[in-house]
Order: sequence, then C-alpha cells, then structure tokens
Amino acid sequence: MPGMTRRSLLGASVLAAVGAATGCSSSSSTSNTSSGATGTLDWWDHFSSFKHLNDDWAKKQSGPLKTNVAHTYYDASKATQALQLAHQANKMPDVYSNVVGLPLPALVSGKWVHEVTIPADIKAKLPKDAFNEGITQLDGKLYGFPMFSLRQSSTLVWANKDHWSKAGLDPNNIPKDYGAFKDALGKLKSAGIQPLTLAIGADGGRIRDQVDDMAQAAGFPGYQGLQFTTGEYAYHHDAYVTVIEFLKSLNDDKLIMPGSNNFGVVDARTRYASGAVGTFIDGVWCAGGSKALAPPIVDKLASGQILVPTAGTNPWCYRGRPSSGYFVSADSKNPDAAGQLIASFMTEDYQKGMIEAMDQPPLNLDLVASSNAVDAYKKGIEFCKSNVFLMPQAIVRNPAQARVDALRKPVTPHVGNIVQGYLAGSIKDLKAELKKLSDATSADREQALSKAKAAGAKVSEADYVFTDWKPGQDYGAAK
Amino acid sequence: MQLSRRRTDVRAVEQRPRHGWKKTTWIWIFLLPTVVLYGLYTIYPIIASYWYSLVEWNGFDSDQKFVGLSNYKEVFADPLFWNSFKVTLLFMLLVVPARVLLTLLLAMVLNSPKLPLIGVLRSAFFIPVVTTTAIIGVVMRFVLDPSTGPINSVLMKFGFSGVDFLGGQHLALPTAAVLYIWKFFGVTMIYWLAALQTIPYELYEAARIDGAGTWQLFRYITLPMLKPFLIIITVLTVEETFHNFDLMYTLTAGGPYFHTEIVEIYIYRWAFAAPIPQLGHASAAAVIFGLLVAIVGAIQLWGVYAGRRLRGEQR
Repeated sequence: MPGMTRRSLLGASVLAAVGAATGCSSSSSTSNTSSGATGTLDWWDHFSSFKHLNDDWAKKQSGPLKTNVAHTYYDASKATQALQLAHQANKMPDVYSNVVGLPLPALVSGKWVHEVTIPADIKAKLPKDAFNEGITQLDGKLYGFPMFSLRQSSTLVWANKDHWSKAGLDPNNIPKDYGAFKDALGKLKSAGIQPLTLAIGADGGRIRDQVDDMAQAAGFPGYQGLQFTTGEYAYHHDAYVTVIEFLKSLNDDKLIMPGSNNFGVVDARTRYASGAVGTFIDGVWCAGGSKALAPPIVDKLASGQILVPTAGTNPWCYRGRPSSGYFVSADSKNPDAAGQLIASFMTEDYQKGMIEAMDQPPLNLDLVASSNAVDAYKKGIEFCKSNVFLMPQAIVRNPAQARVDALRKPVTPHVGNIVQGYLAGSIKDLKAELKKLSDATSADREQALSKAKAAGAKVSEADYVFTDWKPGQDYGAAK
Repeated sequence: MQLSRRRTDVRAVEQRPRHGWKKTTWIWIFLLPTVVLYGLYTIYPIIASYWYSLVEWNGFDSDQKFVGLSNYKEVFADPLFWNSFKVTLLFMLLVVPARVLLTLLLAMVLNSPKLPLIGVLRSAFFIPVVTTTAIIGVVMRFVLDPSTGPINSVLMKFGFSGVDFLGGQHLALPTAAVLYIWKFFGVTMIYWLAALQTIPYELYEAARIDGAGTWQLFRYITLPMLKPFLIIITVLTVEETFHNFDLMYTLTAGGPYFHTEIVEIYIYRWAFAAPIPQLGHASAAAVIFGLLVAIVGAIQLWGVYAGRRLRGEQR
C-alpha cells in the first residue's frame, strides 16, 4: 500500500467536509434532535423586561401543554441572527417572537411560519381589527395575533424626580414644548446635574424612530417620511428640520450628556437608571427597562408627553396596525401545543404579568389603570391612549404590497444617521441631506415596485395615497 | 550539477524503507482535522461568498435570485463603501508607522541585557495582546466616557472640559488607532525582539572596541541587520490592521456618522444589521475587500522573498 500523499489527503479532506456538510444540511428533516421530537417545546424571544415573567410562564405551561416548555431569551440585536442560523440549520424553535423583519407573505413562502388556531374564548378577547390580511393572516389563514397595543410611543420624556426637585423643577409637570423644556434642562445644568441623554449612537435606529415621532407631533402628516395624503417621501419637510434643529440647539448648548452621540439604547438607559442624568427620552417601556437595570430607580420615575415645538400644539402621533407578537415555526413538530402557548399569552394572569413588567403596553390598555404598575408608566399609557392614532397603510389597502416591502433595501444614511452627523458637525446643510434621503427612499420604493410588478404583483404607487386621511383620528374610524 | 542532485533525490526516494507509509499516514491523519475544519470554516465560506455576491438574497428566503454583477455595481456606486475603504486605509496609515517604529524602539530597550526586570516588562507589554479584543473595546468605552470616565474626570479636575474621544468626528478614529496600537504593541515587539536576537553580539563588541558609540552601533549594525525584518514586519502589520472589526465595533460601531466605519463594519451592516439583510451586497463588498487583502498578501510574499534575499546578501 503506498503512503498517503498530499493529494490523497486533500481528497480525503474534501470527502470528510462533504460528509460533515451533508450532516449539517437542510435535508435531514427527520432529525431526532428536533425540538418537537424530544418532547420539548422551544420558545425564543427578545423581550428583556419579560424575561422572568416568561421563564416562570414556561414552567407553568409545561403541565397543561403536557410537554416541557423551554424559554430562551435573546438580546434584541442577536435574536435575528440566531433565528437566521436556526432556520438554515433546521433547528427553529417551536415558538419565536417576531423579529425576523420580513413581511408575512415572505415568511409564509420562506417556510418560517405555521398556521395557528386560536381557541374561541381567546379570540373573543382580541379586538376585531387585530386580524388583518397581509399582516396577521394570509389567504384567510391566521398566522398569529398582535400582543401589544398600537397606542404606544418611543419618545416620551422620562425624568428623575430627585434631580428635578433638586433643580427646583416639578417632575410631575414636565414641560411639553421645546422652549420650556430647554429652560428646564438649563436649570438642571445650573444645579450641577447632567440634564439629558438620548440614544443617538450605535446604528442610529432609536433616534430615527424618535425623530419620526417628534416630526409627527411637530405637524408632519405622515410616517417615516411618507406623507399620507400624497404618497410621497418628504423627509425635508419643515417638521423634520424643526425637530433636528431643536436637538442641535440642545447639543450646542451642552444640555445633552457628552457621549450621547455614541450611546446605544442600553448605554443611555443605564445612565438614566443609575441616576447619572436627570432626563431621558425613551419609549413607554423605559419604566420596565430601567427597573431591570437598576431597581431603585422605580421610586424616582416621572414621565411626560412627547415634546411639541410650541405650547398648545396637539402631540398627535400615528402608527400602523401591529403585527403578530409571536409565530409558530413551520418546522414545529407540535404546532397545536405551540399555538396553545401563544394563546395563553392572552390569559388574565399573563396580561397582568406583562403590565407589571412595564414594557410595551398590552392590547387592552384599560387593564393598566388598575394594575400595580408605577404612576409614571400609567401616565405614559394614558397619554398614548389619547394621542396615538391608527394610520393608513398601503399593505392594508392592498396586501400585495407585502411583496414590495420584501424587496425594499436599506437606505443609508437614514434619519438617525443624519441626526448623528448633524450634531457631530459632519453635515452642514441639513435640508439638502434630508432631500437626498427623500429622493433615495423614493428611488428604492420605485425599484421595489418595478420588481414586484415584473413578478406579477398588482401594485401601484397609488396604493400609498390616502387623500381622505384626517389628523387626530384613527384612519377609517369616520367611515 | 543540478541534474546530478535530482538523480540523488530520486535514488533517496527509491531507497526509502517500505514501512515509511505508516509514518506519513499518521502524520496526515493527525493533520486531517485541521484540513477539514480549515476547509469548512475558511475555504468554503470564501467560495460561498463569491457565489452570494452574484445573487440577491436576504438570508431568510430560500430563493437566491441570480443577478450577475449588479451587486458589484451597487457597491461601487455607494459612497459609503468608498468612505469605509478610505477609513480602512486611513486607519492603516495611522497605525502601521507608529506600531512598527515605536515597537522597534521598545524592543531595543528590552533587548538590553543590562536592563533589570526584563521578563516582567516584556510580559507587561504583552498582556493586552492576550486580552479579548471585544472586552478591551467595552472597557475602554467606560474609561474614555466623556462624563464619568476616569480620564475625563482627571481632566475636569484640572479645569479642562471633558473630551468626547469616541463621539467626536475628528477624534474617534485616532482614538481607536491609539487603542489598537496599544492592544497589539506586544505582537510587533516580539517580532522585533526575535529579529534583534539574530544579530550576533560579537559584532557589537567588536564595534565598541573600535570606538563606536550608541548611535553608530544602531546606524551601522542594528539598522542594516534589521532591514529584511523591517519589510516582513511592516507587511504583516499592514495585513493585520485590515482585520479590526471586534475593536472598532465595540468602541464606536462605525460612528459617529460613519467616521470609523471600516470595510468590515460596512459588510456587517449590510449582512446583519439591515432590517432585511442584503447578503448579496455584503458579499460583493467582502469580495472586493478580499481582493485588497490578497494584493497585500502578494506584497507580503514579495516582502518575505525580498527579506530572504537581503539576508542572503548580508551573509
């Protein structure tokens, strides 16, 4: 027998690699390691405030579902990648939270989701408009239901009661307009307190959402740059310019904590929760998120509404219909139990736990007032209940628009990046940069529409035009 | 003469004992795991990325639509790709001269037999190398924090205003470069120490007897003897600076406003951080970046060759 040569070694290596690759490939649909086959119902999500609630809930549900429910929490920034890898390796959890980011038709065609059946008593608890073709159901088949109310905000003002009182300010009466708010921050600074922090850094995703919200409150008649009545992108609208110039003035006057330009959400929230800063602009979930980071902050929480440019302006914001909170995986070996687990999230016990965790608000906002949540959270929810409205959506009018959404590409720099650049001094002409963004976003929609049309989708730019939209009310409510 | 040497080689192979295959087979069997893993985790992804660069794929769908060179066209037309390219090269220009020259000076000091605590000092400079880069990035964000970090606290105590090292558009990249130099100082220092130890001590002794001073020893002995190593170490350091994702991502994530977005972060942003990932676009950028690294690799080979030739000449 001849000795092994380099050539034969490489040959053997290739064979071994092919063998290993085959072992890892997607063809092994009968794998015994799949979660369902081993009698475990795997549940993954990215809700940090619900981590303990969900760990306990998994234990509680193991009995009634007659299977071992295993809950795993993933940081929001890692969850998408984890699911991406799990899907390619045929190791999807039975139940997972909706972080994939694809529209429902793409999830269905990509074999990500399984149809679910919800018991009648649970279905009765859900509002009728929770079920929408293209968002939660497709061709009449239900794939999930929303967990959270659309009436929420990423952009409430959160104050530290102790710091505000020390500066001679009333934390229960946080200013609502830009001028008064800036004066209050000035008083905090004079009292030797870092006045304000925002999550401007990382990928700029949070400040993008917040500027979108603030632009609506400043009078922008649309969502994420898209005007409802014309269907055109107008990031260069005066409302966006007003909001960003206001943030710039806070930065120039050194009222924003140094380093905020580089802070991600957790960095900024940690500063607020630890008492290093007097004010923080964050979502309604700030109460739960801060409590998770530093429990003593709970007694010092105070909240105020989204800021408006001038006193007396209506702080109205608009959001789309919420999509499913959870999905059942198409590969689940036990889709019935998985569906029952999702349905259990609508039971009174779980809803109560959700509210006490003070994260995103539940579908039924009326439950919050009588809960054990802190007053600052309740105040934030009350504000959202009266000032956040349902917006018109192309996908609701024409579910085929989901194919366009799936073909959209990221446009950079986005509004969050532009804020970062403007505050850091890298952008000199704000309006010109916003106009470029409007043009680039329009071009991207155009390419997605063209591709979708070429693939047979019946879609048009007219789907985005809602001439009957009225500010300060839910779209379609007057019909 | 060459012909006769070849004949001798052939004879040597023919005379090799027949049981030699056992010995070589074991060698190859022990190498097999490395070769398989290297194939799976290095060669396969490289080949796959060439394919992905030609398709439109979000990583979620099973559909991969062949789009030819359109991803490359998009990458070339994206000003942020060229920005990341510029940042990568600028970072390399900031890091390489400082790393190569400062470590040479340090290595010469640490190579002196008269210096006390040489072992302790060498270890101290090498410790950052063995520390996880991402951990260094996270810790340094606290150290450099403009309001609560220790450096700014000291500055403010002396009446200076706080410095936003990582959030300022002009400061972020140089700050990251300084941290990178510090982190990998020990690696280049070890290269230089190894190189310095190849210089025969007798040369220095002879020169000293002839009346040479410190500068003359450096100018006429150390420097010429180190020239071959200078090429290799420089090329190795250039190549290393292209792979700086972990430190830069944990320090700045590419901000503020793309001022520290190196090509690796650009690729990551398109592949994983986009709401709908664009693996085709990311792969095209990765292939183009790979070509740059390959060019540097070719220069590296040339460097090794040139270094050997120079050393040959010196002998």
